[in-house]
Amino acid sequence: MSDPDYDIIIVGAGVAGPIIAKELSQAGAKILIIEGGPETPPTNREEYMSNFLLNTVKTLESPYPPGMGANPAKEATPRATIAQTFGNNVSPTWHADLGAGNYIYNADVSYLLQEGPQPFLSGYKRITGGTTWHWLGTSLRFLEHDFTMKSTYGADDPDYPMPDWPIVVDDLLDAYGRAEHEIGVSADVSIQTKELAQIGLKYSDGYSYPMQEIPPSVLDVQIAAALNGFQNFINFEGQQVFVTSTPAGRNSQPDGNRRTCAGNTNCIPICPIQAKWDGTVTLAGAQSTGNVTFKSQCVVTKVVSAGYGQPVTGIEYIHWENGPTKITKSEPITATAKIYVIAAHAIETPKLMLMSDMGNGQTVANSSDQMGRNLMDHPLYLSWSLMPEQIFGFRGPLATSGIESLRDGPFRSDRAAWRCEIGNEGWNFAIGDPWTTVSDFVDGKNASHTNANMDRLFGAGLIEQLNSHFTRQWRMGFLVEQTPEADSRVTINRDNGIVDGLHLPRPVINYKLSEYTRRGFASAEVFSRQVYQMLGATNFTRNAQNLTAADGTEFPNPVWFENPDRDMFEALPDALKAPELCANGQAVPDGFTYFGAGHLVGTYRMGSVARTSVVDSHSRSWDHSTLFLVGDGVFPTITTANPTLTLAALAMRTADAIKAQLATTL
Amino acid sequence: MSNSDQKTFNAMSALLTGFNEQLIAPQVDPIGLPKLFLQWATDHSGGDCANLLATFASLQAIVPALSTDEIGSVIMGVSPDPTTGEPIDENQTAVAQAILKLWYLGSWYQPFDIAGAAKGKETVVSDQAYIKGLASQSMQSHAMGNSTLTFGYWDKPPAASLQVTTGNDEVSAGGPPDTSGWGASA
Repeated sequence: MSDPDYDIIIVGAGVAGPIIAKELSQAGAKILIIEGGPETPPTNREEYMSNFLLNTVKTLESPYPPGMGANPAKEATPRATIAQTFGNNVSPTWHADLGAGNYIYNADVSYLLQEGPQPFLSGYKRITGGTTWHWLGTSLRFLEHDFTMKSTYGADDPDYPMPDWPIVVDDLLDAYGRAEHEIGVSADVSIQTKELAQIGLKYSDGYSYPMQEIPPSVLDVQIAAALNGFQNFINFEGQQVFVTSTPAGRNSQPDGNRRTCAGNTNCIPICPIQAKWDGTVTLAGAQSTGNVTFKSQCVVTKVVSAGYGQPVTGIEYIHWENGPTKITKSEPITATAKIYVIAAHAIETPKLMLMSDMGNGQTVANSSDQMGRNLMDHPLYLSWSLMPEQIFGFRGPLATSGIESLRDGPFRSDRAAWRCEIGNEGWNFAIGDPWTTVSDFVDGKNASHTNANMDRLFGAGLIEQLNSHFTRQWRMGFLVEQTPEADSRVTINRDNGIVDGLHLPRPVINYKLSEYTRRGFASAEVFSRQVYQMLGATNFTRNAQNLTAADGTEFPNPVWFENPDRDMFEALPDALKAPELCANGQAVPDGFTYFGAGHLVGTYRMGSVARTSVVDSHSRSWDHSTLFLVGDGVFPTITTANPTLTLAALAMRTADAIKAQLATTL
Repeated sequence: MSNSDQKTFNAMSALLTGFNEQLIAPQVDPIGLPKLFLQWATDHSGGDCANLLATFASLQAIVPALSTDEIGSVIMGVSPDPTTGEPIDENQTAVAQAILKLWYLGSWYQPFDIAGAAKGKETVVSDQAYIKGLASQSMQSHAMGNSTLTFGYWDKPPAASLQVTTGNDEVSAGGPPDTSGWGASA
């Protein structure tokens, strides 16, 4: 057998790929990184910024290629977007006839072929730097019990939905520190541990973050003043609530050639000054070693192995270019290495692996039949209100504080936990402001539900009304812990005739929220009422059960689900049933709607035994010793924290394992 | 576009937006939004932008003079034209509303069907139109993605008052929120 081309081939240049490349190229390994999407030379931030400024819909994907509204059948690297899941793309028959070949969203618009029963609402990027182009920067560590859910909260319950991880928090403390230094996280250990050590937030002895914490917003301070130390929240017996500064991968000081955060209120969809870390920063570090070959616009189509128990022996990829009228693509190219790392996120990785037929009816790394299963996100409950005082939103980073102190507790035995992110962007996320409220008061409409009189204003009257609203708007975003479900999954279907521009199959998605997860929404609604009562705020949240089609007819909203726990609301004191505190004004809600959080997790889970997991605790395939599948697809549970920091820490751990494995063969 | 049209457009824009004319249409103007906006409105409204400007000019010429509130109410279709007793043409009001949103949001919402653009079609007319949108001044902030301030400014209330950000001494900031709309269409 001839020598392999490289020591390591890494597929994907998002978070985990560049981290592993940097760690190992610095140790002398020769590495090929293959990225499906386009490269991002320095000029592209301006190009992406321009796209953002000129797009009418400023969703998180709006700055990035391919353009908004592109037909995924005609793009080399189409991706899932938020706009694809807007109500106007819902198939009129979705609720009546779901199942194979019937999709919630129009396949000419939606890259993901969503078979339901509920829609998956998050998107991701297929460009160099990956989805970190529009991450928020939130860099929370997981908590001690996040890794031991089954043994801590479900040891006696055979139906308990949460598994243990094959590692415990202490196994990751060192890697967390390395990841925080690579990302450049701004936070203060003493401030974090003061309120959160009680729920199992841990650091190595003597640890300090690389940058000072980011100051809280005017809003944060006001909420903290009202809530901190309060411990009579319903459903959280005796647990104290604290508002805490959120560790963030944003610069609180200059870092290399990257500037300090200037509070552009635009972390999502794009930081105009790259004060927020993204994967291209670490990629540049890897490339500076001289040991990294980088190929963009190369889509891997197959990982090659002779069978389970056999090593991976190569990958096949296609190089593509956008021609004047159509995509041109190369013949399949084969590359070889000693170690293969697939770092293509939680949908593209299982798609590639399920495409990697070994010629015997089996696909690579799937002896467990777990590949693609347990797709998770943080289904997000958004609750928005007007404060009685001005708190001046639409300023600063999109979020600077959150309520983390309820992320753990005995309640996790029977309902989902959540973290509560406090938003600094008014009702931008909630209703699309400033556009919606401005249009209401100019046109005499009431889409915002704040212009009941249908006033049509101008001049000083318009200014004052807008000032009054915009400086009081705020929202909470509850990131609800979703259970892993075997039938929430990514599959491919080579027979449906629906392909991308390279004629590759597109991901088929099945997805649902369990009863355990849905009960987390109910507790979030109750909590938000108590918060609004304490603040004197007025709740304007709307959970729409139906959507209105262009022809005026109503149809069921696919992101709405029935209230799983009416009894919880019936039992509330009357004061918490006051309409101005309740979503939709309903004392007992009919149901809730959810958003995606952009956290794609769980489709090639790690575990302690090969029978029930895809990879081991180092993200190494149980089936092929030279194959590593990295990223947050390995998470057995999603926990309540944003995933990027933990997947970065796991990438550090994988880099160590690869280094050790290579040492025996170099 | 004639100078006269531009002057009328600027005066009408100041009246409708509530912002000081010198602030939105400065004499030395490297960005040139008033010119761009008038051209855009003219190109996307058939003859109704010109008709609107003529209506505005005639309202300004009435003796004894109407107040700015009275003129704005007529333009916005809230009050009848005092010379006819009837509301002004609804297309003219629709153009006025589109111009007002253009100033606040940087986006043109096509007010009615014309050749090449259906009613409701939205266009960001330029990057500066978005960046300089008056909505961000009405909230004493900046357009999302265009902070000119420095690290940590967000831990204090805005330094600039609403009177400063709008150039309008008549506006009062911090009035109580009008939540009378609560529950209107739950």
